[in-house]
Amino acid sequence: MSHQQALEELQALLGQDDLITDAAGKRPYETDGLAAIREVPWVVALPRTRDAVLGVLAICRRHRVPIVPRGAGTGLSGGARPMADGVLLSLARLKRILAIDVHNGIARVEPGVRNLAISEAVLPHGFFYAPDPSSQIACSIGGNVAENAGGVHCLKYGLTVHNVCGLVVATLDGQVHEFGGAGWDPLGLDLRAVTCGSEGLLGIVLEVVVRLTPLPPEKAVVLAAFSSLGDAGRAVAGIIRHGLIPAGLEMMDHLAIRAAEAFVHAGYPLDAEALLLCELDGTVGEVSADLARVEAVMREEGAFKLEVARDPQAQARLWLGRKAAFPAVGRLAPDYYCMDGTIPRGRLAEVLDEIARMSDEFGLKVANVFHAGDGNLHPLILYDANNPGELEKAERFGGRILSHCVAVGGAVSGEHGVGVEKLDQMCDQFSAAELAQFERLKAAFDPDGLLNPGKALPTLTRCVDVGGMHVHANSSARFTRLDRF
Amino acid sequence: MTSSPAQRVAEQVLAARASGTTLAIRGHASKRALLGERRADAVLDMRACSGVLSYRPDELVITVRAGTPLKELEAVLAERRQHIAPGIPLLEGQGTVGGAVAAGLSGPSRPWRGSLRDVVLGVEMVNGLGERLRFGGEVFKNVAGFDVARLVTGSEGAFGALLSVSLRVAPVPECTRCLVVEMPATPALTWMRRRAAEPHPFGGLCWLEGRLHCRLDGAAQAVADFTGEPGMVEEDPAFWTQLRDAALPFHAGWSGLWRCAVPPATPTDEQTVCIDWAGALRWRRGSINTVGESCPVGSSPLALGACDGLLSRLKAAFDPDHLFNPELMRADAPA
Ligand SMILES: Cc1cc2nc3c(=O)[nH]c(=O)nc-3n(C[C@H](O)[C@H](O)[C@H](O)COP(=O)(O)OP(=O)(O)OC[C@H]3O[C@@H](n4cnc5c(N)ncnc54)[C@H](O)[C@@H]3O)c2cc1C
Repeated sequence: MSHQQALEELQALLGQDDLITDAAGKRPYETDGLAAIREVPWVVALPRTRDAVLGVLAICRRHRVPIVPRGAGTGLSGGARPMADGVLLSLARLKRILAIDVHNGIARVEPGVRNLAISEAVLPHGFFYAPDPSSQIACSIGGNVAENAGGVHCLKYGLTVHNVCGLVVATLDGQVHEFGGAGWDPLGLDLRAVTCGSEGLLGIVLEVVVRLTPLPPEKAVVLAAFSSLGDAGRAVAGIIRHGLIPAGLEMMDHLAIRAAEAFVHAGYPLDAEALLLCELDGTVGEVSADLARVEAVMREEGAFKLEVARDPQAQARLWLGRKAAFPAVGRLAPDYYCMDGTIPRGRLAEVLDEIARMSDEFGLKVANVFHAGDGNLHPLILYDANNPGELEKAERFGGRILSHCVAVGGAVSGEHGVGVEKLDQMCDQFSAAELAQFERLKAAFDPDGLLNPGKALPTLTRCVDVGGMHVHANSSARFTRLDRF
Repeated sequence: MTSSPAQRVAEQVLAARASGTTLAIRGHASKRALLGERRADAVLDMRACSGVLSYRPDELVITVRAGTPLKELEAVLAERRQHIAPGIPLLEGQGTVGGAVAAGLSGPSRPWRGSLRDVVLGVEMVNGLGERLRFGGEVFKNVAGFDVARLVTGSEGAFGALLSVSLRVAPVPECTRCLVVEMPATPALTWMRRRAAEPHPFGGLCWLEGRLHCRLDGAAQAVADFTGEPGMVEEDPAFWTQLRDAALPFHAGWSGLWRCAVPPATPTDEQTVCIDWAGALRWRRGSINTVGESCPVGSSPLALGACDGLLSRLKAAFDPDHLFNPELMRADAPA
């Protein structure tokens, strides 16, 4: 590595405005949404054009300097955590909407465009961009592709991977590849899916062609209160069994309901042990018909209170508590740790019981807010980092929840990615041969191993150590510090 | 101890690797006419590796061995009024699930119900090193590790032999209505593009031989809410099954045709025989060189041209000795 030489070349390429080298200027970039994991980057590059990005890649490759791509920095698994000897490559300034093509039903955008900005731009044409992570005001489409982000509406409309029809990706050898395009599917090999969720390890996303969805003419939101998590879980299964795929189906537990209610006064019933929010959309007649069926299932499974919102204002109120749930729970304790595992829907009640049992065992409270329709849990573990040892306890508790998700047939991450946070749990989910296959796949894209090294894939040595760690219950070399984002 | 069918496949691959024998992976060979026949030193027959491993209708997921006949999959799902939403072509009236996933072909409802790749949740496969590997799983949301399950979908076995596949299933729509009207190609395409921008429960939009075919699938009320074009009359849904399975009269003589994936609003022309996927899939006499991709019927897109750079490194990452389907992803240009 020849950092001095690289620095001179980067300065010549980018100039003062687009390259940050001073300590104060670099400070805002030392962390992403997983705020306690910090590292000051060597330099921050903020190119404004595709050519400048390619220039940065060429310089880094020549001098073997590692690169950490970054979008808006809202990631929750430390995927954009900087390296002290690496360039933090921000794509945030590539933020033009290049084309809105109504005839083909697509928009072509640069990677730094914010998720919500796409839906706002296409609204006048009667479309929206379906994947809607809760962070959509801030997160970038490039980051969404890199994490395969989901949202409240992905039960019906799919994740990022289902809504991206074309990608322009630069690999470190200077090649610019087009995967897919403005059509539905390419003939032959389809490299779009492997790029989605690749956490910046395979290439730099330079352009995204997103599929636009026509706005549904009608929506309705149902709130149903239950006196047990088991009943609510059965209602979720019942809705699916009746052949309904709601636009969204979210669940909150008692602690989350109380926290949300105290925070935003959405009118949630405080005597409920579990609450379901179900959104239906479609034609007017279709929504009415589906609504009747959903209400019947909810009642059958023991909902003791039902509220239906058909006008946008009432719907916004019902969603308010769910949308504010994370900050609301954040008020209950000095710190919280947000987990992200998936399980088969049918195991919901059982897994929540197990989490409650672990909560007693660890002596830490946990609130549950999740995408019930997808079986994607977000347990929020409450702790106080000022109490010695409590952070480590929260991490151990979180790790145990994820291992349990794998044990019941789920996955260690539904939408937040592995990053640096879940490296140990990857060893639970994959065998040594599978991890080695991932490494070879990574090397096919990035033979020099300079793109986001150390993220998403655990080394085999680490997995051997983790195995040992389970036996000796020794958590030393794991996450450093964590607090709320 | 008797070995499982999957283990026997893995053993065959290991033996082939040791002896330097290349393998043509084969299910029902139903895609010969469309993608060409795969040739190699020996055949890796997947038909014995068959059967449903688990089906959980409430979870909307089914896991089957790769050699399971598509007809069996359809029948098992139909008992619970479920199906694979994009529709899977049964070429020559047959096909295995592994062959379908390897070919990655989706039916006419693809623009509205997602692609076959989209509903692949996980796979178990044997790579060129003879290792049995699992990627993805049985849950809808899963971002742990690279999405190899969807990478191998449509790779025609070039990365390995599939042993089992987990697919997301969907409820069969409550109601189906099929309409047809006489219309020339250009106005039909304009009509499709205009209506596809609106929120209708389409299950297919196709133009063929001077007629515009329109399929609706959804809640009874949503289907009833749709107002079509003056002159549209009901037609037999069999048209759509035949279109999916390449069993219409025009398919009989399709060996001279090209399959083209294009931006859906691409203007049509005299060479176009059929417009499917609301414009995004065309069958033409001759290729389209300016927009989109095209491949002649009878060839695999993976056998056209030499494979270099990223693609050749990818092939080597899974199958370094080019054991599987060696005509695909070759380093040297095919004759
Ligand atoms: C309050 C809050 C709520 C959230 N809710 C959700 C939710 O509902 N659903 C959900 O899925 N996520 C959610 N997230 C997580 C996060 O917003 C998403 O993961 C988002 O996709 C990250 O986008 P970003 O632009 O911030 O990416 P960053 O955090 O900057 O980067 C994320 C990863 O992508 C890589 N990367 C970024 N840009 C590129 C590029 N152009 N090319 C290659 N690699 C790149 C980075 O290296 C990193 O590995 C939430 C986060 C917060 C803080």
